[in-house]
Amino acid sequence: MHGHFVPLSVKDETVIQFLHIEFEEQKIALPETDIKFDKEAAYWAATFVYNCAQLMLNRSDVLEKISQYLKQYDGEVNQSSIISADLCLRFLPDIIEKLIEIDQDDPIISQLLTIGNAWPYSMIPICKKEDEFDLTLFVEDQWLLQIFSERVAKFHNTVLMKVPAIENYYKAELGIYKNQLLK
Amino acid sequence: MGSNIEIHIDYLARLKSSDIDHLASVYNWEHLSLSDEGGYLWIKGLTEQEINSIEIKSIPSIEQFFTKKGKLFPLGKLLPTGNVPACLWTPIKRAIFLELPKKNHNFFEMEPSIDINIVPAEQTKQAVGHLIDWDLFVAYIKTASTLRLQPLLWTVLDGNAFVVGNPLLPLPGKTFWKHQSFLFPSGFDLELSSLTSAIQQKINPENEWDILWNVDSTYAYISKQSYEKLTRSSVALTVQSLSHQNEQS
Repeated sequence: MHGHFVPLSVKDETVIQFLHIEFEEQKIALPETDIKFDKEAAYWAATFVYNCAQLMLNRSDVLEKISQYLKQYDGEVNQSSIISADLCLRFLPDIIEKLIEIDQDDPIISQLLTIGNAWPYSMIPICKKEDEFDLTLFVEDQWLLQIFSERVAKFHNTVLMKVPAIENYYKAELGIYKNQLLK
Repeated sequence: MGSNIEIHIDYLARLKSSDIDHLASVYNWEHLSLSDEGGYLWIKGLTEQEINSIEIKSIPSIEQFFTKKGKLFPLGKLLPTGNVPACLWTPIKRAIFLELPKKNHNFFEMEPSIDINIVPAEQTKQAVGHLIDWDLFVAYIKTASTLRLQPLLWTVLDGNAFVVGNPLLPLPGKTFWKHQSFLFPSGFDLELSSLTSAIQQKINPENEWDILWNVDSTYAYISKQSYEKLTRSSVALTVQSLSHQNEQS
Protein backbone atom coordinates (compact mmCIF):
# COMPACT_ATOMS: atom_id res chain seq x y z
CA MET A 1 0.00 0.00 0.00
CA HIS A 2 2.97 2.27 0.65
CA GLY A 3 3.83 4.41 -2.31
CA HIS A 4 0.75 3.99 -4.39
CA PHE A 5 -2.86 4.79 -3.96
CA VAL A 6 -5.33 1.89 -3.75
CA PRO A 7 -8.84 3.01 -4.68
CA LEU A 8 -11.89 0.98 -3.65
CA SER A 9 -13.21 -0.40 -6.87
CA VAL A 10 -15.69 -3.05 -5.76
CA LYS A 11 -18.50 -2.23 -3.36
CA ASP A 12 -17.97 -4.56 -0.42
CA GLU A 13 -21.25 -5.81 1.05
CA THR A 14 -19.63 -7.21 4.21
CA VAL A 15 -18.56 -3.68 5.13
CA ILE A 16 -22.15 -2.55 4.91
CA GLN A 17 -23.28 -5.51 7.02
CA PHE A 18 -20.68 -4.72 9.63
CA LEU A 19 -21.68 -1.06 9.71
CA HIS A 20 -25.32 -2.07 10.03
CA ILE A 21 -24.59 -4.22 13.10
CA GLU A 22 -22.56 -1.39 14.63
CA PHE A 23 -25.37 1.04 13.89
CA GLU A 24 -27.93 -1.09 15.70
CA GLU A 25 -25.64 -1.57 18.69
CA GLN A 26 -24.84 2.11 19.01
CA LYS A 27 -28.42 3.25 18.45
CA ILE A 28 -29.45 2.33 22.00
CA ALA A 29 -27.04 4.90 23.38
CA LEU A 30 -28.88 7.69 21.58
CA PRO A 31 -32.07 9.37 22.74
CA GLU A 32 -35.08 7.48 21.49
CA THR A 33 -36.13 8.39 17.97
CA ASP A 34 -37.14 6.70 14.76
CA ILE A 35 -33.91 6.33 12.75
CA LYS A 36 -32.94 3.66 10.27
CA PHE A 37 -29.59 2.57 8.96
CA ASP A 38 -28.75 4.69 5.91
CA LYS A 39 -26.70 2.35 3.74
CA GLU A 40 -25.63 4.99 1.23
CA ALA A 41 -24.44 7.53 3.79
CA ALA A 42 -22.62 4.91 5.87
CA TYR A 43 -20.84 3.47 2.86
CA TRP A 44 -19.96 6.88 1.48
CA ALA A 45 -18.43 7.84 4.86
CA ALA A 46 -16.52 4.56 5.05
CA THR A 47 -14.92 5.00 1.62
CA PHE A 48 -14.25 8.67 2.24
CA VAL A 49 -12.42 7.96 5.50
CA TYR A 50 -10.61 5.05 3.86
CA ASN A 51 -9.32 7.34 1.14
CA CYS A 52 -8.37 10.05 3.58
CA ALA A 53 -6.44 7.60 5.71
CA GLN A 54 -4.31 6.73 2.71
CA LEU A 55 -3.21 10.33 2.44
CA MET A 56 -1.01 9.77 5.43
CA LEU A 57 0.80 6.94 3.68
CA ASN A 58 0.84 8.15 0.15
CA ARG A 59 2.13 11.63 -0.61
CA SER A 60 2.75 11.46 -4.37
CA ASP A 61 0.25 12.43 -7.03
CA VAL A 62 -2.13 13.46 -4.29
CA LEU A 63 -4.14 16.08 -5.99
CA GLU A 64 -4.36 14.34 -9.35
CA LYS A 65 -5.12 10.82 -8.24
CA ILE A 66 -6.80 10.95 -4.88
CA SER A 67 -8.79 14.12 -5.26
CA GLN A 68 -11.11 12.51 -7.74
CA TYR A 69 -12.17 10.01 -5.09
CA LEU A 70 -12.90 12.66 -2.48
CA LYS A 71 -16.47 13.62 -3.33
CA GLN A 72 -19.25 15.27 -1.40
CA TYR A 73 -22.11 13.04 -0.35
CA ASP A 74 -24.97 13.69 -2.74
CA GLY A 75 -27.81 11.94 -0.90
CA GLU A 76 -30.34 13.40 1.52
CA VAL A 77 -28.99 14.48 4.91
CA ASN A 78 -31.29 13.65 7.82
CA GLN A 79 -31.19 12.05 11.29
CA SER A 80 -30.56 8.56 9.91
CA SER A 81 -27.83 9.56 7.46
CA ILE A 82 -26.04 11.73 10.04
CA ILE A 83 -25.84 8.85 12.51
CA SER A 84 -24.98 6.27 9.84
CA ALA A 85 -22.22 8.38 8.33
CA ASP A 86 -20.87 9.17 11.79
CA LEU A 87 -19.94 5.50 12.25
CA CYS A 88 -16.84 6.21 10.14
CA LEU A 89 -16.75 9.99 9.86
CA ARG A 90 -16.04 10.31 13.59
CA PHE A 91 -12.46 9.32 12.75
CA LEU A 92 -12.04 12.13 10.21
CA PRO A 93 -11.04 14.80 12.78
CA ASP A 94 -8.14 12.62 13.96
CA ILE A 95 -6.94 12.08 10.39
CA ILE A 96 -7.12 15.78 9.57
CA GLU A 97 -5.23 16.64 12.75
CA LYS A 98 -2.47 14.23 11.76
CA LEU A 99 -2.31 15.70 8.25
CA ILE A 100 -2.00 19.19 9.72
CA GLU A 101 0.88 17.92 11.87
CA ILE A 102 2.64 16.56 8.75
CA ASP A 103 2.17 19.70 6.63
CA GLN A 104 -0.22 22.41 7.64
CA ASP A 105 -0.09 24.12 4.24
CA ASP A 106 -1.15 20.98 2.39
CA PRO A 107 -3.91 22.04 -0.07
CA ILE A 108 -5.69 18.74 0.48
CA ILE A 109 -6.56 19.76 4.04
CA SER A 110 -8.88 22.55 3.02
CA GLN A 111 -10.51 20.19 0.57
CA LEU A 112 -11.14 17.63 3.31
CA LEU A 113 -12.47 20.31 5.65
CA THR A 114 -14.91 21.53 3.02
CA ILE A 115 -16.36 18.06 2.62
CA GLY A 116 -16.16 17.23 6.32
CA ASN A 117 -17.82 20.40 7.54
CA ALA A 118 -21.03 19.35 5.85
CA TRP A 119 -21.21 16.88 8.76
CA PRO A 120 -20.96 19.08 11.84
CA TYR A 121 -21.91 16.25 14.23
CA SER A 122 -18.77 14.29 13.32
CA MET A 123 -16.48 17.30 13.07
CA ILE A 124 -17.10 18.83 16.50
CA PRO A 125 -13.63 17.97 17.91
CA ILE A 126 -11.71 20.11 15.39
CA CYS A 127 -14.15 22.98 15.04
CA LYS A 128 -12.33 26.23 15.84
CA LYS A 129 -14.87 28.80 14.66
CA GLU A 130 -18.61 28.52 14.91
CA ASP A 131 -19.16 29.84 11.36
CA GLU A 132 -17.33 26.80 9.93
CA PHE A 133 -20.56 24.84 10.19
CA ASP A 134 -24.00 25.28 8.78
CA LEU A 135 -26.03 24.36 11.87
CA THR A 136 -29.47 25.14 10.45
CA LEU A 137 -30.53 21.49 10.41
CA PHE A 138 -29.37 20.96 14.00
CA VAL A 139 -31.05 24.05 15.38
CA GLU A 140 -34.36 23.16 13.79
CA ASP A 141 -34.48 19.52 14.86
CA GLN A 142 -34.80 19.12 18.64
CA TRP A 143 -33.39 15.60 18.56
CA LEU A 144 -30.33 16.58 16.52
CA LEU A 145 -29.83 19.60 18.76
CA GLN A 146 -29.73 17.28 21.77
CA ILE A 147 -27.13 14.84 20.43
CA PHE A 148 -25.10 17.70 18.98
CA SER A 149 -25.08 19.62 22.27
CA GLU A 150 -24.18 16.48 24.20
CA ARG A 151 -21.20 15.81 21.98
CA VAL A 152 -20.10 19.46 22.17
CA ALA A 153 -20.09 19.10 25.97
CA LYS A 154 -18.26 15.76 25.76
CA PHE A 155 -15.39 17.36 23.79
CA HIS A 156 -15.79 20.58 25.77
CA ASN A 157 -15.69 22.68 22.61
CA THR A 158 -16.02 26.12 24.18
CA VAL A 159 -16.59 27.81 20.81
CA LEU A 160 -19.66 25.73 19.99
CA MET A 161 -20.92 25.90 23.58
CA LYS A 162 -21.54 29.61 23.04
CA VAL A 163 -23.78 29.14 19.99
CA PRO A 164 -27.13 30.58 21.21
CA ALA A 165 -29.24 27.52 20.38
CA ILE A 166 -26.80 25.18 22.16
CA GLU A 167 -26.40 27.47 25.13
CA ASN A 168 -30.19 27.64 25.45
CA TYR A 169 -30.36 23.86 25.33
CA TYR A 170 -27.94 23.63 28.27
CA LYS A 171 -29.91 26.20 30.23
CA ALA A 172 -33.19 24.38 29.64
CA GLU A 173 -31.83 20.92 30.33
CA LEU A 174 -29.44 21.56 33.22
CA GLY A 175 -30.94 24.61 34.95
CA ILE A 176 -29.05 25.59 38.08
CA TYR A 177 -26.62 22.69 37.61
CA LYS A 178 -25.33 24.08 34.29
CA ASN A 179 -21.94 25.19 35.54
CA GLN A 180 -21.46 22.12 37.71
CA LEU A 181 -22.26 19.64 34.94
CA LEU A 182 -20.45 21.39 32.08
CA LYS A 183 -17.10 21.43 33.85
CA MET B 1 -0.87 42.53 134.39
CA GLY B 2 -3.74 40.15 134.55
CA SER B 3 -5.42 41.96 131.64
CA ASN B 4 -2.48 41.06 129.40
CA ILE B 5 -2.97 37.34 129.88
CA GLU B 6 -4.79 35.98 126.91
CA ILE B 7 -7.09 33.20 127.85
CA HIS B 8 -6.82 30.41 125.33
CA ILE B 9 -10.10 28.86 124.29
CA ASP B 10 -10.27 25.55 122.48
CA TYR B 11 -13.33 24.15 120.88
CA LEU B 12 -14.26 20.50 121.11
CA ALA B 13 -17.12 18.45 119.83
CA ARG B 14 -18.43 15.03 120.82
CA LEU B 15 -20.57 12.52 119.02
CA LYS B 16 -21.56 8.92 119.39
CA SER B 17 -19.06 6.46 117.92
CA SER B 18 -21.85 4.91 115.86
CA ASP B 19 -22.28 8.18 113.96
CA ILE B 20 -18.74 8.08 112.60
CA ASP B 21 -19.97 7.99 108.99
CA HIS B 22 -21.31 11.53 109.38
CA LEU B 23 -17.76 12.81 109.73
CA ALA B 24 -17.35 12.46 105.99
CA SER B 25 -18.25 16.13 105.57
CA VAL B 26 -15.32 17.27 107.73
CA TYR B 27 -12.87 14.61 106.60
CA ASN B 28 -10.88 17.13 104.58
CA TRP B 29 -10.28 19.50 107.54
CA GLU B 30 -6.84 18.06 108.10
CA HIS B 31 -6.02 20.03 111.28
CA LEU B 32 -8.66 18.10 113.27
CA SER B 33 -7.77 15.26 115.63
CA LEU B 34 -10.00 12.44 116.81
CA SER B 35 -10.14 10.34 119.90
CA ASP B 36 -12.39 7.41 120.84
CA GLU B 37 -13.33 7.46 124.51
CA GLY B 38 -16.03 5.38 126.14
CA GLY B 39 -18.41 5.12 123.23
CA TYR B 40 -17.93 8.73 122.23
CA LEU B 41 -15.79 10.31 119.54
CA TRP B 42 -14.09 13.56 120.47
CA ILE B 43 -13.05 16.11 117.87
CA LYS B 44 -10.30 18.56 118.71
CA GLY B 45 -8.79 21.55 116.89
CA LEU B 46 -11.96 23.24 115.72
CA THR B 47 -11.93 27.01 115.31
CA GLU B 48 -14.81 29.16 116.49
CA GLN B 49 -16.02 29.46 112.92
CA GLU B 50 -15.83 25.73 112.36
CA ILE B 51 -17.69 24.71 115.51
CA ASN B 52 -20.63 26.82 114.35
CA SER B 53 -20.45 25.58 110.76
CA ILE B 54 -23.23 23.67 109.08
CA GLU B 55 -20.93 20.67 108.59
CA ILE B 56 -20.55 20.16 112.35
CA LYS B 57 -24.06 21.17 113.33
CA SER B 58 -25.62 18.74 110.90
CA ILE B 59 -24.04 15.70 112.62
CA PRO B 60 -26.96 14.03 114.51
CA SER B 61 -25.54 13.32 117.99
CA ILE B 62 -23.14 16.25 118.06
CA GLU B 63 -22.45 18.14 121.27
CA GLN B 64 -20.31 21.28 121.09
CA PHE B 65 -17.96 22.40 123.87
CA PHE B 66 -15.35 24.99 124.59
CA THR B 67 -12.54 24.61 127.10
CA LYS B 68 -11.12 27.20 129.41
CA LYS B 69 -8.41 26.53 131.98
CA GLY B 70 -8.80 22.77 131.61
CA LYS B 71 -12.53 22.86 132.17
CA LEU B 72 -15.09 21.74 129.68
CA PHE B 73 -18.06 24.06 129.01
CA PRO B 74 -21.02 23.25 126.73
CA LEU B 75 -21.10 25.90 124.01
CA GLY B 76 -23.05 28.95 125.17
CA LYS B 77 -23.10 27.85 128.83
CA LEU B 78 -21.21 29.48 131.71
CA LEU B 79 -20.92 26.45 133.96
CA PRO B 80 -18.43 23.70 133.18
CA THR B 81 -19.70 20.13 132.97
CA GLY B 82 -16.35 18.45 133.49
CA ASN B 83 -12.67 18.39 132.72
CA VAL B 84 -11.05 18.25 129.32
CA PRO B 85 -10.79 14.57 128.48
CA ALA B 86 -7.27 13.25 128.68
CA CYS B 87 -7.00 10.86 125.81
CA LEU B 88 -4.88 9.96 122.81
CA TRP B 89 -5.47 12.18 119.79
CA THR B 90 -5.08 10.94 116.24
CA PRO B 91 -5.17 13.14 113.10
CA ILE B 92 -8.51 12.72 111.39
CA LYS B 93 -6.99 11.38 108.14
CA ARG B 94 -5.41 8.53 110.06
CA ALA B 95 -8.34 7.92 112.36
CA ILE B 96 -10.89 7.30 109.65
CA PHE B 97 -10.28 4.94 106.77
CA LEU B 98 -11.99 5.56 103.51
CA GLU B 99 -13.86 2.70 101.94
CA LEU B 100 -14.73 2.83 98.28
CA PRO B 101 -18.08 1.32 97.34
CA LYS B 102 -17.71 -2.13 95.85
CA LYS B 103 -18.41 -2.53 92.17
CA ASN B 104 -21.37 -4.61 91.10
CA HIS B 105 -20.23 -6.13 87.87
CA ASN B 106 -23.67 -7.32 86.93
CA PHE B 107 -25.27 -3.92 87.17
CA PHE B 108 -25.15 -1.73 84.05
CA GLU B 109 -28.24 0.40 84.52
CA MET B 110 -29.30 -0.39 80.95
CA GLU B 111 -30.84 -3.15 78.91
CA PRO B 112 -28.40 -5.66 77.45
CA SER B 113 -29.81 -4.87 74.00
CA ILE B 114 -31.17 -1.72 72.33
CA ASP B 115 -33.82 -1.21 69.71
CA ILE B 116 -32.63 0.46 66.52
CA ASN B 117 -35.21 2.95 65.38
CA ILE B 118 -35.47 5.41 62.54
CA VAL B 119 -36.92 8.72 63.68
CA PRO B 120 -37.56 12.12 62.05
CA ALA B 121 -34.25 14.00 62.04
CA GLU B 122 -33.60 17.52 63.21
CA GLN B 123 -31.45 18.45 60.26
CA THR B 124 -32.01 17.75 56.59
CA LYS B 125 -29.04 16.57 54.62
CA GLN B 126 -28.50 16.66 50.89
CA ALA B 127 -30.11 13.70 49.16
CA VAL B 128 -27.74 11.42 47.22
CA GLY B 129 -29.97 8.39 46.63
CA HIS B 130 -33.21 8.22 44.67
CA LEU B 131 -35.66 5.35 44.40
CA ILE B 132 -37.71 5.74 41.22
CA ASP B 133 -40.63 3.82 39.80
CA TRP B 134 -39.29 1.58 37.03
CA ASP B 135 -41.61 2.59 34.18
CA LEU B 136 -41.21 6.28 34.95
CA PHE B 137 -37.45 5.88 35.06
CA VAL B 138 -37.19 4.04 31.74
CA ALA B 139 -39.47 6.53 30.00
CA TYR B 140 -37.36 9.43 31.26
CA ILE B 141 -34.01 7.88 30.36
CA LYS B 142 -35.07 7.23 26.76
CA THR B 143 -34.95 10.93 25.97
CA ALA B 144 -32.81 12.24 28.84
CA SER B 145 -29.67 14.26 28.22
CA THR B 146 -26.44 12.36 28.87
CA LEU B 147 -25.19 15.47 30.63
CA ARG B 148 -27.75 14.87 33.38
CA LEU B 149 -26.87 11.17 33.60
CA GLN B 150 -23.10 11.22 33.54
CA PRO B 151 -22.46 12.00 37.26
CA LEU B 152 -24.86 9.25 38.42
CA LEU B 153 -24.70 5.55 39.22
CA TRP B 154 -27.68 3.24 39.26
CA THR B 155 -28.87 -0.25 40.09
CA VAL B 156 -32.11 -2.20 40.00
CA LEU B 157 -33.70 -2.59 43.42
CA ASP B 158 -36.80 -4.68 43.96
CA GLY B 159 -38.33 -3.72 40.61
CA ASN B 160 -37.44 -0.05 41.05
CA ALA B 161 -34.49 1.94 39.81
CA PHE B 162 -32.12 3.21 42.50
CA VAL B 163 -29.97 6.15 41.41
CA VAL B 164 -27.00 7.45 43.40
CA GLY B 165 -25.13 10.71 42.91
CA ASN B 166 -25.59 14.42 42.64
CA PRO B 167 -27.51 16.20 41.18
CA LEU B 168 -30.32 13.65 41.11
CA LEU B 169 -32.85 13.30 38.31
CA PRO B 170 -35.92 15.57 38.19
CA LEU B 171 -38.34 12.71 38.80
CA PRO B 172 -40.76 11.87 41.63
CA GLY B 173 -39.60 9.17 44.04
CA LYS B 174 -38.17 8.59 47.50
CA THR B 175 -34.86 10.25 48.24
CA PHE B 176 -32.14 9.17 50.63
CA TRP B 177 -29.14 10.79 52.27
CA LYS B 178 -25.93 9.02 53.14
CA HIS B 179 -24.05 8.66 56.42
CA GLN B 180 -21.05 6.35 56.05
CA SER B 181 -22.52 3.31 54.30
CA PHE B 182 -26.06 3.98 55.55
CA LEU B 183 -28.67 5.46 53.26
CA PHE B 184 -31.50 6.99 55.32
CA PRO B 185 -34.81 8.29 53.96
CA SER B 186 -34.59 12.07 53.60
CA GLY B 187 -35.63 13.74 56.85
CA PHE B 188 -34.96 10.66 58.98
CA ASP B 189 -32.01 9.48 61.02
CA LEU B 190 -31.15 6.80 63.56
CA GLU B 191 -32.70 7.48 66.95
CA LEU B 192 -29.22 6.94 68.42
CA SER B 193 -27.28 8.53 65.61
CA SER B 194 -24.01 8.48 67.52
CA LEU B 195 -24.15 4.69 67.31
CA THR B 196 -24.00 4.78 63.50
CA SER B 197 -20.43 3.50 63.42
CA ALA B 198 -21.13 0.79 65.99
CA ILE B 199 -24.23 -0.45 64.19
CA GLN B 200 -22.40 -0.37 60.89
CA GLN B 201 -19.61 -2.42 62.43
CA LYS B 202 -22.25 -4.92 63.49
CA ILE B 203 -24.22 -5.37 60.27
CA ASN B 204 -21.67 -4.31 57.65
CA PRO B 205 -18.20 -4.99 59.10
CA GLU B 206 -16.39 -5.33 55.75
CA ASN B 207 -18.08 -2.20 54.36
CA GLU B 208 -18.91 -4.11 51.21
CA TRP B 209 -22.58 -3.10 51.18
CA ASP B 210 -24.64 0.01 51.14
CA ILE B 211 -27.42 -0.27 53.71
CA LEU B 212 -30.76 1.16 52.66
CA TRP B 213 -32.97 2.00 55.68
CA ASN B 214 -36.73 2.17 55.48
CA VAL B 215 -38.92 4.42 57.59
CA ASP B 216 -40.17 1.34 59.49
CA SER B 217 -36.59 0.70 60.74
CA THR B 218 -35.96 -2.26 58.48
CA TYR B 219 -32.98 -2.27 56.17
CA ALA B 220 -31.82 -3.80 52.91
CA TYR B 221 -28.38 -4.63 51.59
CA ILE B 222 -27.18 -3.21 48.26
CA SER B 223 -23.95 -4.62 46.90
CA LYS B 224 -21.51 -1.83 46.08
CA GLN B 225 -20.49 -3.78 42.99
CA SER B 226 -24.02 -3.72 41.63
CA TYR B 227 -23.86 -0.03 40.68
CA GLU B 228 -23.46 0.81 37.01
CA LYS B 229 -22.75 4.16 35.40
CA LEU B 230 -26.07 5.64 34.40
CA THR B 231 -26.20 5.84 30.60
CA ARG B 232 -29.00 5.46 28.10
CA SER B 233 -27.39 2.29 26.76
CA SER B 234 -26.96 0.61 30.16
CA VAL B 235 -30.65 1.16 30.90
CA ALA B 236 -31.67 0.01 27.43
CA LEU B 237 -29.59 -3.18 27.77
CA THR B 238 -31.10 -3.87 31.20
CA VAL B 239 -34.60 -3.44 29.79
CA GLN B 240 -33.71 -5.84 26.98
CA SER B 241 -32.31 -8.51 29.29
CA LEU B 242 -35.26 -8.17 31.70
CA SER B 243 -37.80 -8.63 28.89
CA HIS B 244 -35.71 -11.56 27.63
CA GLN B 245 -35.91 -13.18 31.09
CA ASN B 246 -39.67 -12.67 31.18
CA GLU B 247 -40.07 -14.40 27.83
CA GLN B 248 -38.13 -17.42 29.04
CA SER B 249 -40.04 -17.81 32.28
